[in-house]
Amino acid sequence: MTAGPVEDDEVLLRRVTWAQVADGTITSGAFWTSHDDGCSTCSESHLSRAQCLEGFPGRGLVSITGAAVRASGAQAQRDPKDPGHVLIVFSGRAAAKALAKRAVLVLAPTPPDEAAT
Amino acid sequence: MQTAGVGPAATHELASDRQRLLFRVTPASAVTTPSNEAPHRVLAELLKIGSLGANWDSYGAPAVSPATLRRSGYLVFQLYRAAHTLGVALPEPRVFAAGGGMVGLLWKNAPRDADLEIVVGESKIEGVASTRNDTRPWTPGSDETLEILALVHNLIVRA
Repeated sequence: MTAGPVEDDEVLLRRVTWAQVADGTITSGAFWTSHDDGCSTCSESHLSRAQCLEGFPGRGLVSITGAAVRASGAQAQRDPKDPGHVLIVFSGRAAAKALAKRAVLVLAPTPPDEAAT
Repeated sequence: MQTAGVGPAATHELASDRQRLLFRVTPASAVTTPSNEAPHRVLAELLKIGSLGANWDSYGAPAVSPATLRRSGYLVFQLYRAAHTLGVALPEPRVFAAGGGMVGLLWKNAPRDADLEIVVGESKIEGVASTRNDTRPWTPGSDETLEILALVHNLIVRA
């Protein structure tokens, strides 16, 4: 377990809802955020998938590696106060899409008819 | 018979009923489009997205505003109307949500590994065209409707 820079093979997890995944396609909406500091993820090196989803029933998970984040033109910045929390920092819709293209849907979210909004 | 009121109270009443608000943007000419079911399916998806409450993404995203929902619905009808007028195909987009209370339309051509996302907010519209090896941002010029139709045709429809 590391608290240093995000490694190339470190897996980052982000919760998603049915509204961000269309016909199995991860949209840029999965990574787009209005937060200035970046897009929050859980590092799987520090937190399990179950821990990342705790308290958020019906959510799915997408994963992306540190290398894929950088290949998308974004940065992965570990929270110095919480090593399990990694911010993906990027600018522009194209970078959000590049992240979405490299991400993998590891757990599908509950469909809207079954999900409580 | 229910009548439409006027003034602030009527505006509030309209804004509180999202389905009524969204279908209010339906232009009269839309009834002449031969593929009426398709835009209405898209509008139904828009309504689902519009029903998401604040923090729908579990990361603090705001709800989709009535103004964004109305603008998205209007864009959908403009696209279908223009496609009908020009006699060009418009595949049915899927609707998604993005942080910041924005609404997205997604067209995809899976065999080509290509897709187009158009994202609508209260004050802006933007997009990204993506192929297997390329991802390009798009911002509207003087006629966003025709530009989007051209992107859909070139990226999604044309093999």
